[in-house]
Amino acid sequence: MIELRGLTKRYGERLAVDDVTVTVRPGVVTGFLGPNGAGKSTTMRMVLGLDRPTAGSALVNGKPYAEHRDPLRQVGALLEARALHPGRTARAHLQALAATAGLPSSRVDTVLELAGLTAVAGKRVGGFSLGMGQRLGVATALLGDPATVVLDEPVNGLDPDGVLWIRTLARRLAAEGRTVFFSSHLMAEMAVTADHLVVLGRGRLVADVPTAEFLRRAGGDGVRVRSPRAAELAALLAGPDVTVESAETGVLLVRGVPAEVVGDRAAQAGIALHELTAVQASLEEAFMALTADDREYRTEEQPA
Amino acid sequence: MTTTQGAPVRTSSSAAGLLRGEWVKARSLRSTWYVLGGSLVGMVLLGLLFTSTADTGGPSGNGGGPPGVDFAQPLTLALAGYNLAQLALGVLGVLLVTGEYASGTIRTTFAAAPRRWPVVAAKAAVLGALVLVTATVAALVSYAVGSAVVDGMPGLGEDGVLRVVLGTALYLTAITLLGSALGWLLRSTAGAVATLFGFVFLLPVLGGLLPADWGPDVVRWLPSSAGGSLLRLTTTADQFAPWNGFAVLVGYVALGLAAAVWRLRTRDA
Repeated sequence: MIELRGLTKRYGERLAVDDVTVTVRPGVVTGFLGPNGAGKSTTMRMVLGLDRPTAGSALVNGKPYAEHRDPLRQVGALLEARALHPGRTARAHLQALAATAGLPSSRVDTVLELAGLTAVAGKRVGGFSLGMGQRLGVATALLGDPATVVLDEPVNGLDPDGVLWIRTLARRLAAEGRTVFFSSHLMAEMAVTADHLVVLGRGRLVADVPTAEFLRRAGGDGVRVRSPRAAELAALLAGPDVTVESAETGVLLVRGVPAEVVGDRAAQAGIALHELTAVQASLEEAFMALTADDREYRTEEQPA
Repeated sequence: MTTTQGAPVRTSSSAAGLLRGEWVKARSLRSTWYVLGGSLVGMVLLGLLFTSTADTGGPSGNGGGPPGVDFAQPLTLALAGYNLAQLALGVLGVLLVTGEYASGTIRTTFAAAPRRWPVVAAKAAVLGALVLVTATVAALVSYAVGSAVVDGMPGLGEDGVLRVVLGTALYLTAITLLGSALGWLLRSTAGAVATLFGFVFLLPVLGGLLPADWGPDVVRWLPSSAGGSLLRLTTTADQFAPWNGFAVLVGYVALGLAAAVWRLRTRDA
């Protein structure tokens, strides 16, 4: 469990994180979304006691991180890709950390195995690919068998296999009752991995909602229908909870009626359909709509 | 909650754990062993060079050599390699800290051990022990090699000789820890190395340009001049007495490490 209470971080004039109050609950994967510079990494660093909040507090499992006697048992974090010394082997990196935190060295072999790095454990990290570095970062995060797992952009640089691995791992950790707080700028990834979304825009909390709700707000699911008699069909489908839009002639976007009903009604009326597709609202669209005013770096602001 | 096979994990963050963690970090980098081995070999070889050419007035044949090397004193000649060793060891002290900032592992370290001062202390203890052992061996071997090469080497039992030999190791350890403190304070390898060299090499030279009536009073307070008193068989009126001088150097190290802890507590990692 992570509790942010009025969390604020100011760098000079700039508010990196602006009065954010959120509770990240155990048992679900919470996605942390936001454009670059929105304050996601700063928030995560404050959760880990690395940066001091200007105001407010970040509590982990009920206490500030630094007050835990067994911090790695409480929170495991992957903060940035490659917080690894290139001259050290993967095993030595984990052994040093295990010793520092007072964890048994058997955990080192366990997490190496878990991350699929056993075969390269004795190799220096400098020769690792980006993906292997990420895997070692995840192994580092899980070293203390933590109740809360914080992953900052864990799928960056991973191949499709690795992405699937992270997704499965995040869901499994949540299913085990852990708190999983997972940031990504890949919104498609969030749609399939996260149960709940926390969205930041320019340091401010923009949304704190279940993923399904976020998608529904984006316009919800709909049905795309293509028919030579689209106008007649639109009149036929009209109802109190039904919206019908038409972006081009002969194509309708129908919301509020499932695809089966649209097909059946068309058949009864003898209207030919050339296409009948269920469409899901995209997380991208929802995100863009929500953060339109809050993007730190907008293309139109770039000097010509 | 077991992602992972096995019994629930128990932790006990402790001083012993911190020391062991820092030891694993130091020993798992090849550069640590290169610097320690290089300093040891370099110091012994330089001592051999100076002692074996003592009859002909030093390696350049005109009595010239590194500052502070007294060619009339075989003991100083045998240990003269410390001048080079302090350079390498000081950089090691810097690197073991700034390497963590450059690679980003400092965040992992502070995640595992959120309190700052025990980390600074553990790093200093491990580094200090490594360098003290290496430098003691280097000083003793340099002395033995020098004794074999040059006539007139004072015996270890003679007044102040053992103090100079072991003091060389203590001095090198202190300079290494000064490098470590500068590493914490500046977080950048280049900045900390430049500052260390400025203190150790540059300031004494610049101090020599000060007016003669008060210049020496300033120069003797510099870290390398004060600490260097411990390496002299006899000290002049311009210099601190051996242990007083070393105490001044230790004071700088303590001040540096204390400033480092204060800075870590008030600044984001």
